[in-house]
Amino acid sequence: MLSVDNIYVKYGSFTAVKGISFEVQNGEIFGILGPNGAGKSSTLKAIMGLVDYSGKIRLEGKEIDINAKNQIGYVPEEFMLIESLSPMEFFEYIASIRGFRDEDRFARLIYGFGIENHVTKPIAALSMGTKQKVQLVAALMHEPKLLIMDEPLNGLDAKSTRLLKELLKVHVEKGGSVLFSTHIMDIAEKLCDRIAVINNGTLVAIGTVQELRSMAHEEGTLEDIFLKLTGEDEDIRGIVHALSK
Amino acid sequence: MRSLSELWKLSQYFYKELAFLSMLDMRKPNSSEEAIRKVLSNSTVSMQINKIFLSLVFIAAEMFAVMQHTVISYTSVFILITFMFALFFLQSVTYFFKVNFDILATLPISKKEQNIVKSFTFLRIFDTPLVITAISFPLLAGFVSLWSIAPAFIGAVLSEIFAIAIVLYLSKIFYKKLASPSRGWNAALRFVFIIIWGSAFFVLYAVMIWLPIIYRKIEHFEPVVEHYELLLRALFPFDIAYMMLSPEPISIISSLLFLALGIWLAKRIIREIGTKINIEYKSATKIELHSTTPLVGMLKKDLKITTRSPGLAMLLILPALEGLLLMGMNMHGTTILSVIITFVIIYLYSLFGFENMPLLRSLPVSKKFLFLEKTAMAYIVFLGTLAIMNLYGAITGHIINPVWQALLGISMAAASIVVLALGDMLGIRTNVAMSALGFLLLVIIGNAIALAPIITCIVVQGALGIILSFSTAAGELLLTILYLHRAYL
Repeated sequence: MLSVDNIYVKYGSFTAVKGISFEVQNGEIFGILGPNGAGKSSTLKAIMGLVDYSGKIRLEGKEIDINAKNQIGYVPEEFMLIESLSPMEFFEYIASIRGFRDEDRFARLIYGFGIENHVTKPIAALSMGTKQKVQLVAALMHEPKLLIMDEPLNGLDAKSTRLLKELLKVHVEKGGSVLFSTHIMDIAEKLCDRIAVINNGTLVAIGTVQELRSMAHEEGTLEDIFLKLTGEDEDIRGIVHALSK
Repeated sequence: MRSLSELWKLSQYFYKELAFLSMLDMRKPNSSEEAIRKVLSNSTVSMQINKIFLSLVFIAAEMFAVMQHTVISYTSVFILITFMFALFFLQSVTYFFKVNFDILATLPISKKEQNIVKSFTFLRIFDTPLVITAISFPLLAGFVSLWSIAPAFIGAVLSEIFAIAIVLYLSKIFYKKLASPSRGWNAALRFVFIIIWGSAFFVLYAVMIWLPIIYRKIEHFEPVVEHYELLLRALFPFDIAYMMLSPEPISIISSLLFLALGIWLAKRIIREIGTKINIEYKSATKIELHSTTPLVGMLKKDLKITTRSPGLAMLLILPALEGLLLMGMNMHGTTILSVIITFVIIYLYSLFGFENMPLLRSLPVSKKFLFLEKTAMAYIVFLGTLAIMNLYGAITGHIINPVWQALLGISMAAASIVVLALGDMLGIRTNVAMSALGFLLLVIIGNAIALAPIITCIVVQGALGIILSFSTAAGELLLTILYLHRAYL
């Protein structure tokens, strides 16, 4: 479905992503894990064409052009909304651009995420969690083949978190794909078919949780594997030791 | 209580945030430290250049008034100060409301100090012209009469306070009562409110336009001024102007009363400037998705954004109001059209700045489509303005040459596309008050392209003139569309 081949993202003299490559298959949930500033968001932004990059990014064997963006649903980490509009007006704008008309699916998503009482308020007046739900509905409504989500569970309540997880499972069962970044190890471990661990802009490891476990020679949780692979476990011990003095 | 200089220094961080927000709007979501530094440094430098340019405009107007040394010339300076600062602040107030001052509440700073920091941040947007105007006018007036220095200073400062008060209170009413999302009758009602609201500004503007004409023909108007002298001596800003020339008890009392009002307003502004605006809304009765075509969807979105932003709403109705005013003054058709083009270009490029570029890049929308959609929006405003002009012309028998209107119907599209592409390419900030020089460049180029066919028609004349002018207009449009097609695939 999606292939990312040796991409570099530079911001002036700083290189945020250094030659990362991976593929996301049809019917797969692919997770990107990494510490803050590792290059996760930059990788996802490069796929969406939000930042300049070198390397190749292809969706179903073709470069991602304007038309291909109708096959993608994107949830950014920072809100990309129009604050003076209401969620309903925002959805109508997005639906018009995408040529989306399925009112039943739309209504199910609105009621599913429980934002039916907020759709006429200005987006500027919504809570962080409700804004995140608005972004999710906007990304999900046109049933894209590929979902790209940057920390999609930020600010979500328990019901919406569970709903999103279930929807992602249904999405891949239907042959769609999901690429998402998260800090929540538990969710990555339970939800992802494969995981890429990124640190300092480079790909540290890629594979299923079992494969990562054997690479790290670590039998613990995904958190333990992640900290071992990124070399942060030593750091933590050092910091705790220094602070406890 | 911290010293005012300490609070002024603290406000610079929020001002930098404001300047940065105004510049970042049109940039890519490129969050590297280096890129942010560059935007930040460019934003403050370009704002400073803009402030110096605006200050020079004020000084020129003041010099002109001092040379005239009449009640009307001095009054017109005070009205000019009020209107221009009101318009500038109005265009920038959106960014001020975007700045997050919450961090102040977490610091050991009193509520009063927080409000002063917020007020200083607001004043910093146009600090140089505000200070220069308040100093230069008394100094210039002092050359003619030493007695004028104090009233000129008080009048300039009061005009600035009134401008800020007008912007803040009207903006708050606007956001609270008019900016909430609504459909049908409520939306129509909102539009009526916008016209009334915009007209309040326009009256000020009209007075500013009329006054120079009045004092150019001062001998005709002197009897009128003399007739109403007693009343005018008691009204701001005439009272201050009389104070500068021949102070009498009634002017002194009136000036003191307006001074007290100004001080009271300034205190209220400091107290209320940062208060959050609670926007009113109604709950949805049923969930219905009104999806349409991409073009109509974007146009509807732009119209909603326009009617919910005080600055944009003002710019939307200015072409028509301005056109009507100039028609009322029996101005030449080309002058009227040029002014309409100018205001449409200002609206167009300002609207472009309201586009959420990162969101747009994640959607199946090309830059070519974006430019064409914005051109369509500008075109709707332009045609609406022409329709109002023609309606007024039909009533008064003063219709602008229909051939010129037809020519402009073609060349305006070309001018709009060039303005958008050029502004985007040069990275001109999309706020007229914060980038007056950049807008001036766009207005000059836009006017040149839009008026070129009309000028051809006037110069060549006859059937050949009409053929050549329509060919010019069609050629311009064709070239810009070809450029758009090649440059933005």
